Amino acid sequence: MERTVLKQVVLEAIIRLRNERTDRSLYHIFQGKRSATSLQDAHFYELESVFGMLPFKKERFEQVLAELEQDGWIEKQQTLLVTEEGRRHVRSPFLIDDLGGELRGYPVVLWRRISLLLQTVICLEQRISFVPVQQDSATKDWVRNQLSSLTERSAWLRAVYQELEQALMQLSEREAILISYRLSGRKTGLSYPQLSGYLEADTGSLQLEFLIAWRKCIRHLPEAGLLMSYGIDIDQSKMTQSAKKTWEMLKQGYAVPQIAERRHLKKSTMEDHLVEIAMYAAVFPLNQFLSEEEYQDVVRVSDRLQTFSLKRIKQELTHEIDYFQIRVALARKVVNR
Amino acid sequence: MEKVLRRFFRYDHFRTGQQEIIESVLSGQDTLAILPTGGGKSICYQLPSYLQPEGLTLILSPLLSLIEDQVMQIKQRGERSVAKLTSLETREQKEQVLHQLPRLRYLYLSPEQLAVPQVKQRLADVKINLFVVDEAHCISQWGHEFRTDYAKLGHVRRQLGNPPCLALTATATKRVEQDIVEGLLLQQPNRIRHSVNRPEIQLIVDQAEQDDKDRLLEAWLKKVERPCVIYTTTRREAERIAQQITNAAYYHAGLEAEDRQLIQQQFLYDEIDCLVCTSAFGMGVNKGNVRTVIHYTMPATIEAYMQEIGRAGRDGKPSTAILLYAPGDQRLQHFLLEKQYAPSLWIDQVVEGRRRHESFETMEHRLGLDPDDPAYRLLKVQLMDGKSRSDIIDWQEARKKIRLRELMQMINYIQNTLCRRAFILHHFDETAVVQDRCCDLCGNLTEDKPIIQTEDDQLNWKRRLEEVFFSSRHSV
Repeated sequence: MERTVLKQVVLEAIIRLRNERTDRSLYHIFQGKRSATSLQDAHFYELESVFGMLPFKKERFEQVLAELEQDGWIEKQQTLLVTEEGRRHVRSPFLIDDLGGELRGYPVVLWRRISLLLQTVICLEQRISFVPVQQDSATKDWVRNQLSSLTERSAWLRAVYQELEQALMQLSEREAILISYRLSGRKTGLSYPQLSGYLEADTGSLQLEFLIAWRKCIRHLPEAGLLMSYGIDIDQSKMTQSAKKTWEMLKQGYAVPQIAERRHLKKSTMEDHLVEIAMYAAVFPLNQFLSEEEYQDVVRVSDRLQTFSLKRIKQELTHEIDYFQIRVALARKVVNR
Repeated sequence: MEKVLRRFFRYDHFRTGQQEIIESVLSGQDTLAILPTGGGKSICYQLPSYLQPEGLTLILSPLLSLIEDQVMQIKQRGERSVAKLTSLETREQKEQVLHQLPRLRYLYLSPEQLAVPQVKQRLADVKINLFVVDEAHCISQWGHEFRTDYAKLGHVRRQLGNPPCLALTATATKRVEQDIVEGLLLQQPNRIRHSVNRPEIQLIVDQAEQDDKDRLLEAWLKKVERPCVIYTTTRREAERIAQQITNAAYYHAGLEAEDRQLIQQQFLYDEIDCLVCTSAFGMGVNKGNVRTVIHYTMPATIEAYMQEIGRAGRDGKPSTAILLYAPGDQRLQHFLLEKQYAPSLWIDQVVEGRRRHESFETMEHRLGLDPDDPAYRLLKVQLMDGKSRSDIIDWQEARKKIRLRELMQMINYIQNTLCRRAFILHHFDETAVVQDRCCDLCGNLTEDKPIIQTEDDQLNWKRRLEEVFFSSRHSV
């Protein structure tokens, strides 16, 4: 079977799940579901970069897995695992870390904004009508707001052109093609099926290649330049809104039970918030929840067994440590790594 | 009136029929207008608003894409007081729209939204100048696109204080016309009917065996001018055929949103000159210079066929419509037709579940029913309306019979041996005409030597970036 970028990314992701999670878990990570379990999976299994970056429809996802299974590259039992044969098809460069999921949609939103703003300005400047490349109202509203403050159109276009050209020069030929041919203005961008004819890849893979290229392009855009300024207000934080509130109160000195009472939160929700905070905050009052010794115990077991399976860790522990404590400990273990 | 046309719509002249309809609307009478596709329907209800005292023009439309597109076009011509209420808006956005009602000029609505009590109530408080029903044939069981939501529109209009009504459609037989008048409770309406005939389009049907169809298509593409639209029934077919044709791309609802926009724009700009698509393409696409429409497979009705070939020659210049047929093509249509209705097994199972007071959700889960399947959705609506098992089965059988008869008419069109144009005109209760470039049966066709653009074979990002930003698209 053919090795495609899409298949490689899925294989890499399954390898990282260490035969401990199901296809459903993987699906939710790809979708970017902001539930406690999926956020935790992404964090524990180093899958932040794919979080929300392969938002397939369910059938498409199942189809990809079925193909990989048919190829004999993965096995689907209770959990997902990559076979020896499959491992042979995973080659460097490893692609999975370049997708940008840890930025929580930032690159995607920035692309939508820039592509529509650019198309709009070019077409206004040339007085030609156009079909807006982006249809979602958030992007359209944003562009409308920008337009009112954008008076020097031709100077703006020259500046943006230069920023883009400079950045694209730092990319590979193929990456630069992917980005320049998706932009619309006087010329209209190509669809993925059209590009797939030129670049000899399936559309699913091209979409991933584009994400990787765009992520790289963003890195090469001048930090204080025009284009980057359009993304300043995009939320990149990983914590959910609700957990953020809990974190604020915790920092103000409220005790956990107090917060739960004030915010009318169940114990389990409270715990999910605390795990989120432990995963994403730079500092965390770990000793409020378990002792240093207990923490070290969890880390030791997890390292020895090479696992993030809460159940297996709990079975091996000699102390009485509950699941919540294990989750917090593992969350910090990953942060401190 | 022409001043308004120039100032707001940037057209110099009215097209045939428009003025008559606008005058009828302005006189406050109910109006039923049958204008062929591409006749410029939207101006007929958008223009009167500028000649009337303040008040709202309400436009009911069955298709979200159509609404989206219309709103976009109105905004593009510089009119800001337009809004829409569809299932796509969030609750806050809807609230905002309702809040602006007194200041709005146009409001586009899907019929389901008009059924929401809160919406109806707020609308009852404002002055409605005109109640427009677009694609009004959807109200008729005899129409090719019957919609249950449309059936209640007449009643709703009455609740809103009976504002004058303009019913618009591109195609309606006499029978459908009568259903529209009754369904919308029109009072002594002005009936303005324009011939469905599109004299600039020559009509061709060509038959081949299934295996020869691709070759037949290829041969025709050498004889007809572009831009060209090729309609297929399935997405897969669209993809396959697009691959075989130079400078072609495919378009269907399975493309992701951004790609759909790109393809539409490429086609509008003549960057590609052949579009292979399913019926998902076309709604509200304003491209004047389409020279040829080819049907790789036939549509399910003559009405749909007329609508689709109507995308050719909107600029009034000579154009061509070709229908390719291979024996057995109707089987696919037949299959698709059956699929739109719930099989009796489902009906039995769901009726039984309802009897045991099981919720739809549990049943969907238990029986593996897809809540987005149109056939199942239709069944659900009917059950919620209190219809019995036998009501539903009878209704479905009757619908299927109608649809089958429509399909038969389509096949008759293909197998007809006299004049194609006359056949269509008879279908719409019109009298036949004699004209040049009529059809393959009359034999007075013209052929062209098409110029086919060549495609870029090398991608070059530097050149491309420049072209996107600066250089003229014709110079490359």
